[in-house]
Amino acid sequence: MQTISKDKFTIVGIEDNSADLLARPPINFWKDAWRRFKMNKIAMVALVILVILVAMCVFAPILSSFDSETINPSNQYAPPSAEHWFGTDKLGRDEWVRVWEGGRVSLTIGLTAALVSMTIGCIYGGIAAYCGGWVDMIMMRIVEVLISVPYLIVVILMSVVLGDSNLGTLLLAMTITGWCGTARFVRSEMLRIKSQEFTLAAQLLGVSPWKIVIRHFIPNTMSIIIVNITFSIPSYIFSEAFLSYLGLGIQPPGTSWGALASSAQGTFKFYPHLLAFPVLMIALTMLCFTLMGDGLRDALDPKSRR
Amino acid sequence: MGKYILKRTLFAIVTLVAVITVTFFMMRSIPGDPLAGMARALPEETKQAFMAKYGLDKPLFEQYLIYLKGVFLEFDLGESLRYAGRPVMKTIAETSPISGMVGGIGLIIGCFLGCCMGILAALQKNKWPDYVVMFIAILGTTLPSFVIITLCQWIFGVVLKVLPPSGWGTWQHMVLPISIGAFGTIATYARYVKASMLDTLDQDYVLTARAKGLSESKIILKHVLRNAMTPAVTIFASSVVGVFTGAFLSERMFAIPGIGFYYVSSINNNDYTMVLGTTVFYAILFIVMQLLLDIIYTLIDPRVRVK
Repeated sequence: MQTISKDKFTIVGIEDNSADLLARPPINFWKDAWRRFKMNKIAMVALVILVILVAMCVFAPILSSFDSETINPSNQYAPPSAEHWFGTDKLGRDEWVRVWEGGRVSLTIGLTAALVSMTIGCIYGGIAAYCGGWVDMIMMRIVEVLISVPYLIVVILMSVVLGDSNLGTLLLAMTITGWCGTARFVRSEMLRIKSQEFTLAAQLLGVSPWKIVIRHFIPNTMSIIIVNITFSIPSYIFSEAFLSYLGLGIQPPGTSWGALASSAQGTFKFYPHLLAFPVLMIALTMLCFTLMGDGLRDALDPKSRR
Repeated sequence: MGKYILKRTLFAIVTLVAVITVTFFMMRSIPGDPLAGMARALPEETKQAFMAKYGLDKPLFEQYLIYLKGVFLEFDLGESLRYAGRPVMKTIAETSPISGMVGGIGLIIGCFLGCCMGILAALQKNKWPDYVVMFIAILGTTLPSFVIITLCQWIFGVVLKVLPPSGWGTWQHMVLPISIGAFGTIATYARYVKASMLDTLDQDYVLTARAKGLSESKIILKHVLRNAMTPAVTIFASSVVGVFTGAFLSERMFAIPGIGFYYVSSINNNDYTMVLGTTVFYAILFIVMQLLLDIIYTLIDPRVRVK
């Protein structure tokens, strides 16, 4: 029998195992989105400004030597100076501290309301989409009824019914129907995901419905949810400013950007600084959230990759 | 089609009843009686006479049925608690045309200009017209409306002295409220239409049209515009109600005797029948608008009809 010598089986050069090595660290969807977000200069600037604003709201009142509630009758309506950086208001309170304390309230309302309504909307829309059939129909009809009352009317009515306005009642008034829009779009997005194969696979493997919603539906809708949160935060801050103007917002001695601006607009001809600073903060926050939302949408949308 | 309209109408009525029910019981659940805000010490008989006059002494559910009957059969929304002898319906009938006129003109101008600007911005993307339009849109969406109103009143009414800062009566009084209303609408529509245009320009059928050598103007006019404008119809319902709700601020600040003005003052006066009645009016308006737009939408977008 003919033998083939062993040396005919040596590998002649392609022994390089590095062909299977990854040249660069693997990148998942979120890392890729972050990379693309970082390339968007405008959105990054907006993000940085927002971080600064939040940091100021948290730390400025602590670091300042003034108190937001200490009145000083001898120093009313002082213009901005080295001592009072934003001047003082009609009771001689330091405007710098008040603006940042108001910012705490405004940002808290914006962030909390957006998160709460987003959470409720996701769960509601998710359940409706998952169950389908008559459950879906009834749940969506309820949403349609709630949506058919103009949003501002609901907020006003709720504030009237709930009586004294503090942070809690304001949040309740704003989120009571605020989640409906989210529920609707989450549902339609989830219906799309539901028809895909991995959901069928999960169902076949006996994963509980609750877990399918949490583990599969929500992560897959996360990108549009994040974009939606970014856009809804400023609208909640706006609603709060609107309510403050009607006298249904945060009550004194508490304050917010909306409340500061609306109380200053009567005397703005004589003391423009009292109006300018809170309005500047509102405008800056709105602008940054909007620009950041645009950036996030572009970064998270796979279609915009081309 | 007829079946669809019937189904939608029936659902609108159900929605309306639900809204009235919820609003009614919410308003009745407010602690304290409506008299509390007006006078401190009234004789017991006076109070009872008052309660009897407005039917507040009856059981809650009976009151509710009476109210429902009033709304649907007699178009009666009750009588103002604050101003005796002034039916809510009459106040609405007198004041809503004013709001409707100011807001309506603003809405039409705003929609038209906003759509034009949105189209322009999309076609001239990343050129100066785009930047100008987006600047206007951002200005309109980042400043609270009461600040815009205050600034405009100051600039045009106090510094330039060309327009009265507030009041009602002549056409000069209408210029500022209409312009500011239009400005807000422009901001919303310019953004929305631009996004919709860009989305449509990206579609494959536009690529096909380009590939087969259609002229650019034909592509825009025939293929892009119609498809891009249909989504704008969907936000029109909320814009119409926005005319009335946006009026809460502008009517108060400009002292225009419109429905928003009375709605806000009735909130401050604890005039519950007025608040309830106006809310029901807003809800009816919104539901009817949505119904109409749903029907219009099926007419202009054949794809919706197939379902």
